[in-house]
Amino acid sequence: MSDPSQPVLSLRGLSTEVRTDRGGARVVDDVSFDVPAAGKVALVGESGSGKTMTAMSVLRLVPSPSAKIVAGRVEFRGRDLLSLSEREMQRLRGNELAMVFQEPMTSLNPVLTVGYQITETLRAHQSISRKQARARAVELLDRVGIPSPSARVDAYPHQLSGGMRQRVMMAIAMCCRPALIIADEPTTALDVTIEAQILDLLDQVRVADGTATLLITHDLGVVAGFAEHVVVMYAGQVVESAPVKDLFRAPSHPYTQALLRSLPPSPDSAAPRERRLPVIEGRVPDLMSRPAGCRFQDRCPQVHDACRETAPPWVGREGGRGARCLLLRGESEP
Amino acid sequence: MTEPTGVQGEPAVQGKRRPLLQVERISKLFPTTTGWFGRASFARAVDGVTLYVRHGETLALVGESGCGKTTLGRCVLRLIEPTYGRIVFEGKDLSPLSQRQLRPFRKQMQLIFQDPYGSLNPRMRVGDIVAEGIRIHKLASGSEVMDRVAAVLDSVGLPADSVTRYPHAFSAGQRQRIGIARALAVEPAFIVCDEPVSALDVSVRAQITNLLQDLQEQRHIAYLFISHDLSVVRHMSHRVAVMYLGKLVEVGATDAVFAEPLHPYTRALLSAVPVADPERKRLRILLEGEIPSPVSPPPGCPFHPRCPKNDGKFCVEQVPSLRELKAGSHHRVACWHPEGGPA
Repeated sequence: MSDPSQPVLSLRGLSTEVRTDRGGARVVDDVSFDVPAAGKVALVGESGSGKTMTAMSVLRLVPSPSAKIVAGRVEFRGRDLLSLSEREMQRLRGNELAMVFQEPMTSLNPVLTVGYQITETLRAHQSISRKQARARAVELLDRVGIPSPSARVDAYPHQLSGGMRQRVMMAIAMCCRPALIIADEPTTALDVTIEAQILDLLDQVRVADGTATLLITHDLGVVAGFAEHVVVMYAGQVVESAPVKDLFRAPSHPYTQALLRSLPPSPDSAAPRERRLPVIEGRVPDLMSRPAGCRFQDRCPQVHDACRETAPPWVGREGGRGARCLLLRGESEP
Repeated sequence: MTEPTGVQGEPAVQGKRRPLLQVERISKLFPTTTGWFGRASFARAVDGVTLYVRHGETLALVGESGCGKTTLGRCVLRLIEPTYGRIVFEGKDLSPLSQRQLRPFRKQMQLIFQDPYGSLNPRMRVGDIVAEGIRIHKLASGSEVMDRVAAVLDSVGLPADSVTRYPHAFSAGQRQRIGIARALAVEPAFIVCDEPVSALDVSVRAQITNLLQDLQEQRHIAYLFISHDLSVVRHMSHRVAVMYLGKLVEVGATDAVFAEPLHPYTRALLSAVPVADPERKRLRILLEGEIPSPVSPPPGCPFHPRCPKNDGKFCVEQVPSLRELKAGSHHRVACWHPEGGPA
């Protein structure tokens, strides 16, 4: 077992390129952050921000040859994942390093029973008998809250609802007591009532097995309720990283600020209803025509001349915070 | 087949002015075959729903997936034929009309879809997508058609050169604007918006909700706004109707329903909405289990198997009908033990 004070996952300068007919484009650009042992980190961003590609790069599942990891280090429990062989990687995935995807229908095999799919993972990583594996599968289904698990173990994915399928995915993910679960939008396709149940389940796994979670989501409400630390991505880069309370109380980056402002208040909020929501004008820059300087410049309300010329450096601050914005450079320098 | 169980809904007419749309005891049963001999049974997707939409108002229809909100939206437009019930639009009963006779009403009632990718024909130019309705309903001819298209595209914030481009050249938010332009082109009085912002990113979502509100103000369009996102619903709608297992369980002014929800289901739904504030810890009412199958709905109140207030008697045996707790509040609930009511 690794040292609990060490982060379970550590990314340093991770960069991934996709090949296009106009050359390579960095979909993940110099991404660095840590996931502490038994921690809950959320990776937030809009579509095209590179959050899913970051996760796929960590898992070494980027589509080859159209995409390629070109730089950086990914350390998982002290081992550099980028230098492992594919065989070693396979031994890790589903075992110490598990994943849950957004689409519970497409990520489960429709022609195999859910029991088979759980025992398959178990037997790939542990030397246990078929019978033991089946008993363990029933136990896991029970633990993720599936009613009558001994009957459901023989069910096919189409016989289950979306929420049930996502629970099955959770059961597969947690079957080998992983050190980290990477969950990519695990609740996006689900109703809020089911979403709450799945997030609770992730929390229970953490308490019981000490499993850390890297939650990838676009939903800031989910982030606020679940995460301890938040990493915000925009156009392939990390633009802000902060403990969850700091991020929501005092976001540093203009993008995070605008994003939080554009949320309608919660339905039971006492705040008066505003006629219009503040919007972020424009859209995420196209992969192939990112501007020089700051990538948020065209949408930023605080843009100034320097933003169009200088790419903003990462400005780290105390308390585990940091952001990528020229406006913050002045503050941090004495 | 049996008649709808229990009358659900609101009294149709209030005040002097006739509502734009009245939906009276609409039910939709989908046949499903089960059993050894293929015995027919039915899924009650919508079960005796009555509601109205006034001119220029937004009525939100909320509920979990599978509650029948999309089916109800389609029934209102008669894109799905309701099994029972009446749809009255501007005082005219649409139910007995043939598809041909419905044509003039199609111009009045439009639909905006959730999926900005699947709902636009990839082989048609944006100009033709938007012009199609204008041509079918003969609202303009010759060069006037494209003049109207240009005006509509402008009103939804799309550049004039969009006309000659294909949908693939646009982002999700822009595609949703094209879908809105298509609906607006025939100048409808009523639009069913089926999860219009659910597939969009947060920053784009605000742009589209603002656009829908601006258009409503300028053109006095009524919306039936189907959504599972209660924050957006609170922001957008004047009134809200909560559906569970094909039935309306609560309906009223948005502020009233969200500030003082009367139905245990509405309360649970509201409490499950994630709040974008890590320092506000809210008591979540966790619902046990999932929505039951509409093929074999539970007897009595459809919510009783998951309800914390289930009394084991009335709730199990009798279907509660929608009623007003405070006379004149127009806030109605279908529950034997509503919040704030006698226990």
